[in-house]
Amino acid sequence: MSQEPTKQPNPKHWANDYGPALFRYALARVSDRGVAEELVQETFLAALKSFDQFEGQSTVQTWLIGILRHKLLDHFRSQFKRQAVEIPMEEDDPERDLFDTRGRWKHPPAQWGSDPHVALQSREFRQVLNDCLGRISPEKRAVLLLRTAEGLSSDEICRQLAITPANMWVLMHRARAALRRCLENRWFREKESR
Amino acid sequence: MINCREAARLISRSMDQPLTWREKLALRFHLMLCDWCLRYRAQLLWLDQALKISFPGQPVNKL
Repeated sequence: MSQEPTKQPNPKHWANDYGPALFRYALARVSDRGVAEELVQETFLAALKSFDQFEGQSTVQTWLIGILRHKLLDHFRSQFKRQAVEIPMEEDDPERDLFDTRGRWKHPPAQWGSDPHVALQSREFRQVLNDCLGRISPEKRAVLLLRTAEGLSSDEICRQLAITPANMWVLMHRARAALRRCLENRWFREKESR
Repeated sequence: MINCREAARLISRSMDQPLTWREKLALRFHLMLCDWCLRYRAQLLWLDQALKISFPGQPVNKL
């Protein structure tokens, strides 16, 4: 989302001018092409309806992304509502692979280096990160990305998704643990063995 | 004393919310003695930072 097209705010050109950027933004967050496309379409529709309210204080792309973020949040919310998030305490629990019955590490965590910027310069790493994000469940990914990528507070996430703080922390803990494990296995250990 | 599994939970929660003084103390004490949990914490901080960098959203605090 770095370059801002300086096109005229004519809705006829939106799909070409902003479609790809919006699609990438959505896809990175939902990891499902169909859902991402749908969200972008809904964004354009909502934008058309409220175009007269666009005052040009932000750029068109910023304005469209603002709408898309609301659509994304609606999507996450409906996902949570549909599944009435009951978090299974045993099932799908990354802790089981990490710790023995006495709660001690089964394998020592690897050294990841100090600066993520270095790893993120590698296209291969970014691909692995995306794959790993795509592997964690949609609820966990939603909570994790709302917290880290969107910078929402815990309270705000609980309020928006109508979940309890306890549920949120379990989801966050498992999301981080699952993503960490995937990156460790697919990137850091691989690198060590190369 | 808390074990590594409990420490890992507290490490994650501390990134979202302030811990109680009792939890803080228990975690600090555990981390003084456990290099692996220290490393785990470094990994989670690394991960959070990596996600923030790779998802350059807009500086909007609220949706």
